[in-house]
Amino acid sequence: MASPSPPRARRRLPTGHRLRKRVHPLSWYGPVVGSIITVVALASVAHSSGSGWVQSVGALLAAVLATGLVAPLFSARRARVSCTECPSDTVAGQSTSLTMTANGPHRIQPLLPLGPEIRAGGRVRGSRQVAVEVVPDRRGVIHSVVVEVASSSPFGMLWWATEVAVPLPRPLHVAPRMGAHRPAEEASDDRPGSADRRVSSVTGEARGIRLYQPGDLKRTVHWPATSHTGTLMVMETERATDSPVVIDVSLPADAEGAEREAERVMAVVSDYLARGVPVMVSSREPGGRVDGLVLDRIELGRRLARAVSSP
Amino acid sequence: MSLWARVVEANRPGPPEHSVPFRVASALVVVIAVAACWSQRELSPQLAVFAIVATLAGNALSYRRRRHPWGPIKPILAACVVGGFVWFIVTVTRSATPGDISTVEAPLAALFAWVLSTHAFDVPARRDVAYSVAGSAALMAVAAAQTVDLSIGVYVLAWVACGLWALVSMWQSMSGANGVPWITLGAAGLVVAVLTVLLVALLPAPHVSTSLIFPSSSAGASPVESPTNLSDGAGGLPAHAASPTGKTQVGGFLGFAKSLDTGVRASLGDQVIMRVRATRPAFWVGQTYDTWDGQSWKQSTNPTGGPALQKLTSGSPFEIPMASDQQAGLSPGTTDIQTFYLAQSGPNLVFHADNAQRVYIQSQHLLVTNDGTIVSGTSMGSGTVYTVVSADSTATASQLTAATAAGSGGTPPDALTPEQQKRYLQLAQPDDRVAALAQQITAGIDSPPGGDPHTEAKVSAIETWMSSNIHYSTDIPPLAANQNAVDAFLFGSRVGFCEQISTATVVMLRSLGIPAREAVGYVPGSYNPITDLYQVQAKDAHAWVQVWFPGYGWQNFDPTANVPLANPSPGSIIAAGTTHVLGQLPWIPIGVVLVVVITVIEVRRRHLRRPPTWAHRAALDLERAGARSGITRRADETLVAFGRRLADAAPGCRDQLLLAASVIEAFVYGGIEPSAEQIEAVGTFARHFRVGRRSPAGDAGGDGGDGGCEGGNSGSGQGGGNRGGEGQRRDSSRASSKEAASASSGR
Repeated sequence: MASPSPPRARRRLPTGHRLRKRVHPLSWYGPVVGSIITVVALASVAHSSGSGWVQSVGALLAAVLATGLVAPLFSARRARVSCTECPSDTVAGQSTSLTMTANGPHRIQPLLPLGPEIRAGGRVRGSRQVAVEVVPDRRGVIHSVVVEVASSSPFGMLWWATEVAVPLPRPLHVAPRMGAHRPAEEASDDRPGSADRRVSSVTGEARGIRLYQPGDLKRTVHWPATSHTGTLMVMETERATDSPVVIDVSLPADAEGAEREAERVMAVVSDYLARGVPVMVSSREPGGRVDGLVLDRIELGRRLARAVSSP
Repeated sequence: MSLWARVVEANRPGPPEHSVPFRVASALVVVIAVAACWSQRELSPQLAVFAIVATLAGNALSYRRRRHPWGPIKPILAACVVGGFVWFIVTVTRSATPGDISTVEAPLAALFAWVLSTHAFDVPARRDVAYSVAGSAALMAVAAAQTVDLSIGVYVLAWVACGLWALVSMWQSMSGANGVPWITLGAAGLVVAVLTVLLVALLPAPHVSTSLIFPSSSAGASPVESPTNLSDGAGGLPAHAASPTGKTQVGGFLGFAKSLDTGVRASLGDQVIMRVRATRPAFWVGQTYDTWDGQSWKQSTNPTGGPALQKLTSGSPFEIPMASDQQAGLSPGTTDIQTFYLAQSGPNLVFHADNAQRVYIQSQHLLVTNDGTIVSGTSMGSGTVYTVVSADSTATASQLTAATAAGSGGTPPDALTPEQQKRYLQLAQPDDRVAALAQQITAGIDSPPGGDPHTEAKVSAIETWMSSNIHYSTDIPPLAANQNAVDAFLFGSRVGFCEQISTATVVMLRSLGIPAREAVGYVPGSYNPITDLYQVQAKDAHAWVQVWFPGYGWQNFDPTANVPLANPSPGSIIAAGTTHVLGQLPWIPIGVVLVVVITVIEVRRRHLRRPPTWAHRAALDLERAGARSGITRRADETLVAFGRRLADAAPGCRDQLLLAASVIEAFVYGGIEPSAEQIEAVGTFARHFRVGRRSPAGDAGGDGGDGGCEGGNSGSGQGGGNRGGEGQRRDSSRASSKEAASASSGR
């Protein structure tokens, strides 16, 4: 049908960050001043010696330098970057890999969140996939990342760049860091196959047998049923009947304070979850207050990522 | 950040450069620059070979140790560079002439080559390699500074090619790219070429500096056999008078001798005699003749001796005494500097523009006659360079008219002595026919008593008559013995070349009482905008007329050709060349080919962009109709949702719009093939809806009107369409925005 319009990046950028969409040169003092000095030197030699050849060589050199300095502008304007894959969850301060597609051998520098600069090398033409590492410095929900896409094609004399807000294919929840609070005792962990700490579900009455799912505890495997069916089966039990711990998350207005508080909540709730204690987290999100049971650290991270300060 | 911190940061060594092509290209760039200096004799062969070997070896060593540069290398190289500078200063102090840039260039080239070759031993990082590339530009500039021909063009092209290779390799290394961006590179190359041509065309040509000492050098110079004789340039033998067998060896021109026989002339060739860098183009005179015997010109005070001959022994630069009849008190006197680079052995005449004041030449002495002829005491071999500084005395026609008018009313600023009057009004024998013709040509130009206010007008009248009545040809009829050449020319064949024409003009002017003489030398020839040099060929040898005017001295008149008043601009030369080339192109076939190619490309483009199915065509029609109404389909919007928005803007078309959107989505996403009637109905409606949006009524419909619905789908497709629409709403709601966008692109 019709050619699709380019996807519009959602401009959910922090206050104060201004996207420099206009293509601009990077570190231009050295190349530009060096080029000017070179051309002026040749011009002075030409006019002191009266040599037409020096002037011709100088004109050629000036043309090469001017082209080399300006040509990347057009290459940078044509630069396109999109994100094709990203995880749903990460933790503040932790490097997260995003898969991006670039339409040329550009240089990509994640700006928001920050990340190391990478070169999308490879073939000269066509799209290529690159893994871009970003390190969110604080919790939140990221819908787009700001990257600086730069090009110096074809002579590599000067980088021209533009800042692009690249929409993520799915929101990236950045959980707060684990705070300073540490539990008194660490729950024993004998659950290979799962990196997630789930609330223990072996404390209640047996509810039934079901197929094994990734993340199920090893000790919930029901071996008779497994033997009978030939497929790994686990036993489900009723949850503990005791009331869950209710954590009321109230974040202060200032960003740093809210971050510290979220980190503390992260540590406290993780401690409970590790001990198999169900936790009810009550927090305020942009849509209003949300009360809900958190079953694992991932869900806790998402809740805290979305949490906002109380009015 | 403090300045010191910035400096430290800027000088922090970068990461090692691993790109072999970049290093190879940068080494080649330096090698080519060294070779260019060598070709221009700026570097000795030994030093050039050493620099090339050191550059290659240094780059190889730097590459091997790029990760762990050898610690002591920097101080060692710094010591080498300092030593090079000390050598340069000592050399220049001992041998160079202050202000003479040509004597500095060879040590400068050696210094640059030394610095670049030592720098090659410490280029671990990308920036260091790039410095090598940039530094080679200085070496190329030195090589180009003294180049007077196109021979360095090969080196420049190779240097540019390797330089571009180095730059592209640097970009590949920086970007991690594999391969060459040929399209981008081609476009960049085109831009570079256009910019270069524009810069060469628009920038003013580099003027000869007036604050320096000018180049002069002797090549194979030897004293002439007879110091007061004119030499032919080949071993200092005396030049023979005009004779077909005379050994002139200057392209066949026989004028540079004691006499000039107007009855003979050898054919002139295309060989380059010399190249001249000049402030402005001019007649570069070699010698003048004042005595006419009816067939030949002679010098009454020629360089064979006589009291009028002056020997200058001051050494370069020689100050040339001004003859009394050359005083030009009213002339502008602007400085005109000419540097002559001889490409062939020639006579020991020092060519110059009028009113030479100073000569820079490697000669023991100079001989100057009182008519301004300058003769070198040494032979002038190929490679000889000399510079002449003249005071330009060229006056305009109005100035000359005013000068002679002033002479009629009062005391002339300066005047010829009776001896000079006699000398420059001398005729072989009175020729009434010639005098009558001259009177006839200048009949309408009256001379008031006591003066000659119309000398310039008379000269111009004779020039005009010559151009109208004389046929220029070097194939002149033979002249019988003792026959007056001017009489035979004017009243006989009227076929001749510069010597006959100028001689006839001089004789006619003298018959009118106007002092005149014959001058021989060279006209500027072709101007090369790249070298900024005039290329003087043998065929540019010329003879013209000099007429004396009070206050302005001898003024050049050329009945045969004209010399431009100023150097042609490079832009005009390039424009003229381009126009000439463009004018030669077969435009009709080119136009036909272009039209065919553009048509094929356009047809191909339209074919590729054509919607693949009826559904895509109909969807495109709906989107275009919406765009015309200001309703653009979003990337994440299904066609049905878009149709609803369209329907809100055009309520009268709601049913048809929803039907069409549903049918299209059912076909695209569900694979449900509608009936032929439905396809026809949807296509017709979408097309009419789009056309209706374009019409004024449609525009009104965009604001809530129903333009296009009347001609759209109704009737047969309605029922089925409704059913299909209802049945597909669930499908359409499931269709993701991504799928819709993909489908929209014609997948």
